[in-house]
This record gives sequence, C-alpha cells and structure tokens, in this order.
Amino acid sequence: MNYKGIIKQNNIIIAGIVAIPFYWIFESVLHVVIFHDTNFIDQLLFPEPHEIWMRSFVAAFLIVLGVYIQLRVTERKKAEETLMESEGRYRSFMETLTDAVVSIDEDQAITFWNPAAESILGYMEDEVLGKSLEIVVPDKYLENHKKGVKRYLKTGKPKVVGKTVELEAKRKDGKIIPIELSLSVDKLKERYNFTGIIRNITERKEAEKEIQLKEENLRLLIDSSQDCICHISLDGKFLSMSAAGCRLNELDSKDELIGKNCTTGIVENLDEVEKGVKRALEGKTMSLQYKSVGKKGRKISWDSVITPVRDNNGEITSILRISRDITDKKFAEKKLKKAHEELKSLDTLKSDIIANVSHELRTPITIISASLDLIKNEEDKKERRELIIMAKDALNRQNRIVSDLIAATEMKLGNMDIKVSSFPINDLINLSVLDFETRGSNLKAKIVIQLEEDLPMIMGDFDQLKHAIQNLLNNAIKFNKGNEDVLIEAKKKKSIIEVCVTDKGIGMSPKHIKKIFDPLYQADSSAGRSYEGTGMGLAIVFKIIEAQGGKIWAESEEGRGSKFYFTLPTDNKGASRRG
Amino acid sequence: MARILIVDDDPSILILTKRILEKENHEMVIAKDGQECLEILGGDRPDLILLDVMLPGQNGWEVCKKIKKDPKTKNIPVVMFTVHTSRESVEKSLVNAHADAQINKPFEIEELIKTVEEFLKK
Repeated sequence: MNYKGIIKQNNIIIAGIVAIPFYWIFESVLHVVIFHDTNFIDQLLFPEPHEIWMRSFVAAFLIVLGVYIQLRVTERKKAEETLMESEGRYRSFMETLTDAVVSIDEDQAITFWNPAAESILGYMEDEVLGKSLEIVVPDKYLENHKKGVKRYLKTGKPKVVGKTVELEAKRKDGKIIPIELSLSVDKLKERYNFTGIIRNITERKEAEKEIQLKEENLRLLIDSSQDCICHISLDGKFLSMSAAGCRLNELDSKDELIGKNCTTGIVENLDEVEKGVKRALEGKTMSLQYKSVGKKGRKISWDSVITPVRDNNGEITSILRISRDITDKKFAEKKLKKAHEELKSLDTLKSDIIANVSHELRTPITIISASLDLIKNEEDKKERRELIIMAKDALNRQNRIVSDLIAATEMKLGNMDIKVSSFPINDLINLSVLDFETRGSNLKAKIVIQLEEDLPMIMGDFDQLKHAIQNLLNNAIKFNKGNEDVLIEAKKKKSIIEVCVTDKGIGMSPKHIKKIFDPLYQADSSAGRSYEGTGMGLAIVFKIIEAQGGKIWAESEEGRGSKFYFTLPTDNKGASRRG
Repeated sequence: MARILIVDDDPSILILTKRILEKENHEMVIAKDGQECLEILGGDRPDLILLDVMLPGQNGWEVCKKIKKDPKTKNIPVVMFTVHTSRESVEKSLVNAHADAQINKPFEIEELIKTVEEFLKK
C-alpha cells in the first residue's frame, strides 16, 4: 500500500491526528483571549502543566474518535461493496438466464420480470411490473389459474407449487407457446410471493412431436404391410405384432399374444421356428416355412424369415420374424398339381384311346383285306357274295368306331350339338334295331323288342339316341353268352319313359358297374381289358342320355347278365301316338 | 394235311381264316374263346394253334401260358394271331406267354400260309 493508499484508507484517523496541532493553536488562542494574561507564544510553546494534560487528553480523544469513525466507515463500505457485488452477480445471472423468472405477489401483480421473460413472453419489464400475471395466461387456463392461487392462499396446500408442470403461455403477440413451469413460493412480511421459472419448450415439443410422428409412421408402415411382422424378445416372447399379423391370426386385439411364447399356435415345423430363433440369437438369418392355427381355427401356411435386430453398437437386442401367409398360394399350388395330375392321366387316357382305336380298327381292316384277297380268286358267285357281305359288315363296324371317336371328340370339346325334336319312342327303338340288324349280318343273338301300348311322344335328338341305343345293343350282343336273346323294352313311368336293354351275358361285378360309365374305363389297363371295343361306347351313351335330360344306370349279376336302364323325358305338348 | 385250331371271338375272322387254310387242305377246328380252346385241347390234339389275344374272359396270352405249362400240350406250336403289333406286345407273346411265333393282323394270305407250313414241317 503506498502513501496515497494509506491516506485514502485511513483518512479519518489522519484527519484526527492533523486536527491535534490545530486544536493546540486554537486552545492557545482561546487561552489568550479569555485570560489576557499570557502572551500567545508562551501559551503555544510553554503552556502550563494542566494545560498540557488537557490538550493531550483532547488530542487522544480526537485520535480515538477518528479511529472509531474510520472503522465504522470502512465496515459500511465493505458491506456496501459486498451487496453491490452480489447484486451485480444476481443481475447478470438473471440477465443471462435463458429461463424466464417471474414473480408475483398475492394480488398477482408482477414484481419481477427477468430479461429471459422479456424474450420468451414478449413483454418488456417496465411494461408488466405491477400488472396482473393474467396477461400471459391463455384464456383456457385462466379459470384454473385464478382458482389455484385462491386455493393456495386460503389453504396453503400446494398443487403446482414445488413441482414442474407443462403448460401454455400467451405471448404479447397473442401466440400460445408450450412452457414448463416450476413454481416456488416464499413468505415475506406475512405476504406470499410466488416465483415461477418458465422454460420455453416449443422446440422440445416439436422434437417430441417429430419423434412421435416418426414412430407413428413406422407403426403405419408396419401395419400397412400384409405380412405378420412380429417383434420378439431375446427369450422368445412376443413384444409386438403387426395389424396384418393380428388379422391373419384371427386375434381380437393387438396385445393378445404379447408376452406369450412366439411359437404359440404353431402346429407344423415348430422345431424349425425354434431353430430360427436360436440362429437369430447367434446373429444369423433363417428362412423357413411353418403352419399355425388361427384363434378361430383357420389353418395357415407361412413363409417366414427370422432375423436378429441389432442396436447401434451391433448388439442383438431382439428378434424380428416376418411371416407371409401363403395358404392361398399353397392351395393354388395343390390345385394346380391336382389339375396337372388330372391332365396327365387324361393324356395317358388319350394315348390309351389312340392305341385302342388303332387296334380296334385293325380287326375290320383284317377282315376287309382278307375278304378282298379271297374275292380276287373266287369263281363261285355265292361265295363271292358272302365275302362281299363280310367286307361290308367290317366296313360298318369300322364306321361305328369312327362315329364313336367323333362323338367322343365332340363331347370332350363340350360342343355336343343337340337337335331336339318330338317323336314316338317306338319309332326310335324299331329303327335303331332294324338299322343295327342290317349292319351286322352275322349277329350271334336275336334282338327282341317289347313296347308298352300307347307310349307318349318323347323329346330328344333322334340320331344321338339311335347311336346310344345301338351302342347298348352292341354291348349286349358282345357280352352275350351262346344264343340267348337280347331284350329291349320301353315303359311309361309318370312323366318319363324308361328303356331297358337286357342281356344274359357274362355280367359285371359291382366294382365294375360303378366305373362302366367313366370315359374309356375299358381302355384303362388296370381293368384287364380283354374285350374288343374302343371303351368309349358306354361313356358316349352316358353323355347322350344326360344331354337329353335323362338318367342312365345298370344292374348286373356276374355270370348271369346285365340290364341297362335309361330314362327320357316325354313331350307333354305332343299327343301320344302308336308307333 | 394238318389239323389246325383257330381261336378268335370274331366270326368273320374265323370264317375267313378257315377258308384260306382249308384251301391248303388243312383240317380246321374253331374255338370262340379261351375256355373252348382248352376244352378242345383236352380231346384230339391239333398240330398248330392260331390264337387271338383279345378274347372274352381270359385273354390269348393267358391261354397260351396255360397251353405251354401243360406237359400234354406244350409241344403244340402256338402262333399268336393279333392286332397287337407293338414291340411290347410281341415280347408279351414270345417271352412271357412262350408263344412260338406271332402273325400280325391285318395279314397277307401268303404270309399266313407260309408261317403255318413252316411250323407244320417241324
């Protein structure tokens, strides 16, 4: 401390000390004036002893007084300085604080308003001091705010005080902003003073909103997927399931399976799924298929991928299983496979028919060829005639085979033309038999016709029905034993006509009867084909009768013969007539 | 002159074959199916059998097997007489059913006569 400093620091003490010589001079002057007996120099330089004591005492008093005053002044100054410093610090703290600090008294009059409050709420300090806080409370909070203050003042029980709450505030420009409010209260001179720290959380809210939006988008994305997307915990429990997953599994709510084992409901390839989860825990991805049963019992086929979910550090935190419902696809595949099998068997059948027909055609060709060879060198007229008839017969047979083939082809293509007309059943049967007999001159059996009297007219395609009847007659004769008669009958039954062709031939086993109307049953090698014929005959009859709206069936006894029945609708409008 | 048994369910084939071979001075015996054929074989033995495949009841191959199994008839030459001309069918005739030869239908008269004569010479 230099000289000036000493003076400045202790100037009152110095003043006291400086005052001593002045006092000494003053006292000397005073003594001369009062007593007139001494001269001033004597008094100043050689005072009397009691004067010396007196003057010394006053000097000491002045020094002590100076020291005392000096001490008091220094103390006050120090206190002032500390206060100034603390206030300055407080002010700068308040000024730099980004949170608004606002105080109000019991009457809600604003008593403190820091710079952050100015920037957050838009009002300047001098604009609001003394005014009601209500200017920054949005209308919808106003009522509650008033009640809250009143209640606290009355009961002293805090609801918001001492806590941090999210609220909204109204800025000077009218804009409502989200805020976080921490409210504290203090009591000064029996009056409450409320201080709120207000933080503008607009950005935080926006960030939260953005995160929410992102989460919502992710959820929408997952839920708009048609796959069953399952989030699975490391211990194999469901954490969540996509909307499609819930729908496909026939669940009532999204939370139904949460917490349950991820293999719940799986009925096929369960071990594969378990293996997939285990692999995912090892960090591998696995594709697999499995079947499960929905809550309502639907059996579902799944095509699935199980894969680990990793966090930013690469740690496996959970498992993702994305499964696609391939039930329909599987079904379609199955159907396609079946259709393919059917097509394949049809193709085999077709090959069989071709083989069969070509064999079948060879017999008449053999007859024609041999007959012609014999005719060449035959002199006898009668013999020649016989051979010609035989060749002609064979040609007719060939013709029948070709007709069958054409009929079968037409049926396969589904465009069997029916030329419906009304005619007497008698005409149909008589003509069919007559035609059949003339075509086959060497019949093994006789055909007997038995027709009920007054049979009504029938509706149908005459030529097709003739073909059907002749096929039945051909069968009856082919399988006939010895020279038994073949019988053809027709009866009226209510609104239909029933026709029956009976033979006393080798008959059929019940197993065969079931299949005889199947296309080309005879062509089927497993049936142990041993009869001539294309095997198409009965299938053609079946189709023809069905197309006329009739029914066909057979009764048979092995070794005793067969009965083939078919029905035809009568023509209600046409008058009955005897054929 | 030889005795030939022809088995066929088609009357025209029977008549024609009979005529052709009768002109060559052979005695013709006729059977309409396998059953009848085996019955005939129970009596006088023919020198040759012409056997159709597509017969009612048991087919020609089955009949042939029976003939070849029976020590009394196994030495009679059997010629399958059939429309089944595929390699597979010929194999069935010659390997499975042990027939001696096969004549395919339709046939040439000369071929039939030649084949029959060949077997009869043996």
